[in-house]
Amino acid sequence: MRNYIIKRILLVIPVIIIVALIAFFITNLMPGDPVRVILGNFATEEQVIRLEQELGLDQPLIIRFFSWLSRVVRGDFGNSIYLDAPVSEILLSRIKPTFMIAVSSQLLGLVMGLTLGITAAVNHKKILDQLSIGVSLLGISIPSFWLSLILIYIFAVRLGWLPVSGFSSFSEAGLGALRYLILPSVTLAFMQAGLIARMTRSAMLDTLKQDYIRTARSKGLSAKVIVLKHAFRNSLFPVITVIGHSFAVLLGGTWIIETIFVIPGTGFLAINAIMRRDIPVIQACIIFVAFIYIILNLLVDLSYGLINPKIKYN
Amino acid sequence: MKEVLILKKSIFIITILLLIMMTFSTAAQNETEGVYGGRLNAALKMSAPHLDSDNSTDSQITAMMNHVYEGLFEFDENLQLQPHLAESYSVSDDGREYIVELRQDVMMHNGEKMDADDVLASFERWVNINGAGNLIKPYFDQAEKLDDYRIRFKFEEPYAPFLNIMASPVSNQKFVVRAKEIIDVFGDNVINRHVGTGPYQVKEWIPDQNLSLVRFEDYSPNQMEASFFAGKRTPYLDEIVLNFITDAQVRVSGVQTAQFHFAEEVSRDQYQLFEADANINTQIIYPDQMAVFVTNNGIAPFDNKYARKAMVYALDLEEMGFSMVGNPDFWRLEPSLHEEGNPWYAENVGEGIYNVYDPDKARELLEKADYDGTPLVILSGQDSQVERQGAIAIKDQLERIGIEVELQLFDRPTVVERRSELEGWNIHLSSFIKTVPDPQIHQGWTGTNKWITNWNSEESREMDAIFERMVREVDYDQRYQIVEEFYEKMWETVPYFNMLDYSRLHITRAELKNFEPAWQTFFWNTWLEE
Repeated sequence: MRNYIIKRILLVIPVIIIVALIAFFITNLMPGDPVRVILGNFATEEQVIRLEQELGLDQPLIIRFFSWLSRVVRGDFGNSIYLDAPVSEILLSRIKPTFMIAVSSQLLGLVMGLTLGITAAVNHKKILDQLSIGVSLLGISIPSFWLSLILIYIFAVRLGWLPVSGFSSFSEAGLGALRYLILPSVTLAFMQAGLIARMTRSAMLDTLKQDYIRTARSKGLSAKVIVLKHAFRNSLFPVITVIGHSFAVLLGGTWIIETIFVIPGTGFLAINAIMRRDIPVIQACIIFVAFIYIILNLLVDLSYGLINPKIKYN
Repeated sequence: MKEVLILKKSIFIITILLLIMMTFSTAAQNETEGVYGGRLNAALKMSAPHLDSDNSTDSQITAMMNHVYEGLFEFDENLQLQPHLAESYSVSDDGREYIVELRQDVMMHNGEKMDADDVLASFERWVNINGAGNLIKPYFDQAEKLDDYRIRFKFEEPYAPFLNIMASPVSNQKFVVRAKEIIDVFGDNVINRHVGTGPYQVKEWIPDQNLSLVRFEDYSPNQMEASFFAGKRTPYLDEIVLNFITDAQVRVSGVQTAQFHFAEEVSRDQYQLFEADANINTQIIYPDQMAVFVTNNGIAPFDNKYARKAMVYALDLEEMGFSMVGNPDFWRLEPSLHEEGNPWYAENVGEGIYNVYDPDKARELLEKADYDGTPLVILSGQDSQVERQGAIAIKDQLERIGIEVELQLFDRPTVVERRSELEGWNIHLSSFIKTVPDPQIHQGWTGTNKWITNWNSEESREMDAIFERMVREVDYDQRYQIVEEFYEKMWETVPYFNMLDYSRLHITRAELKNFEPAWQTFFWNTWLEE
């Protein structure tokens, strides 16, 4: 097990280097010159050249790449072109809101998704099954930006229960921070719930057909024990895979939601950086998301062994 | 008994009269005097990288920091220049010397009084590092302190636009007075500790989130009548929080729910909805923006003036207005680069060509320009409704008269980059700020003989010569004649032209009183009522 973990962690290094390579070249080859964005429409060529030199953008791409890579492996992503501050510091300051939104959405999505999925499977081909499928389909299909605007309209504009936008941490606002978390979390959780519910239903239906479930029923075990202890636990593998992947997708989803709700997280930072062609920030955000994605995949793989002790890692 | 009755009657009448007087005087007081206190929340469209206007061309910085910093001169609502931190000024007959007398007893946020040292240090920094300062640098000689409250600005050559450029909202950044001690610490680097003379001071700045300003209790207002940026500024509000909300609908919802008292630039399509809401006041900004048709004059076919003129005849501008903006309350046809009421407004310019929709004439002029039918590339931004819809409408109209067109819509960074190239585009639709306080500061002409339209020919040099004369002429009447000459040449050669003027729509909560819809939003002299 330990060897397996070490091997997997070591494998992260080449993957991150490949991601870094792609991030660097994509951001540097995309159209839109950050210098002209900063200087505006009426900059003279002299001003452009001067700023290019200041930012080191006058160097050949390949030299810039190696210089950048040597800094990145030491955790230094350079300075933000727009905000004129170290990117790593900016990124660190933005992780907390994203993490809060992602975790609350995931928890909410899990509760909603598992409830919908199990209900659908247990009531297979009944009206509750159809309803659950319908709700989960909506979750997958409705664009999160649209849903967020609808939720804002209903719960903030019409009912006045929740704020339209903004963010506050628990350390600043105590439980009042929850008011800012609810709408973005519900928006993202709805999509999560859809994904988790569909996979839970499908896995549960497969499991419920197994012989040992029939045996359990014939032994006279209660429906609750059969569903939750036997069927659900044995359906967890695909569900956990989906949860892991959906959490990674969720991190991408926060990019839009953070922008709409003005939550100062990594997504909001990334979207603004793209609009401003703040190349060092875009690169750091890409690498950050890739890193989280890889770590989550690793955790999902390792969790299989915890759920089913029969699984051995070689 | 009778006397008692008369006395009672008199007391009753006096009481009634007093009550009436008190009622009216309270009403009058409410009309003229605001209510102190409260925290205002505003939703602005975009953030800024920092708050140091000298170090940027981003006009958003000046717009926000107008609350914190003030200029020697400021514009009133008629774009007339008024002394602000300056008490008075004089200009020598030859236009080479400006002596500015400062107001005394103006307190700065550090508890010190503003004097000539603060102004000189601020001015030197502005001239050296800001784009607007760079405009005047070629003409400038030196600024010297005559005494603690008098400064002489000397020029090597006569320089008429000096005071206008210092206060201009469009010349990259206006000149503001900062505390010398701060400039000594930061030098040319971005300042992040702000000590000015304005009615508010910075409480907290969180990039991409908000800027929080609190009232400066020792503020020393100018005593002239308040008019936009000039005159008396009264900080009624305890605190102003400027939030950066990129999504327009979220800004609107924020005002609808009273989370925000002000939302910048909301959809004009929702105008009727806002008008029907008793809790919301609409604020149409005028003068505001121009939709400018820019041609690439460095390459064919628009290196030929006949091809450029053909574009004016080829476009039905009324139709363009409906396509680009929609509701005619928000746009108007205007050939002048200055709006009516502006000291540089010129009537009847572009007569016989502007808004003369004549496709046959357009075809004839294109033929005269030897246009070979190569498809014209329209380069435009997709983020702004006016630019996107305008580009599509131009394409439709040009195709209608048989011109082949390729439409390229990109995000702003890509457009800025591509438009800076000499080739690869022919037409670009751009938004210019309409509030141009001096004829020298047209955005299309950067003041250094460089035209944004790659225009470099005998005609452009003739136009440069007109600008040179305009720069040196200090007499208003004489200068106005040169402006008329400029317009004549402009419509004869059409390096670019204003298709129409349009206005942004802001909304405010009904509780926010005395808000003035200015070209840059400000909240002094406004107050909140429950």
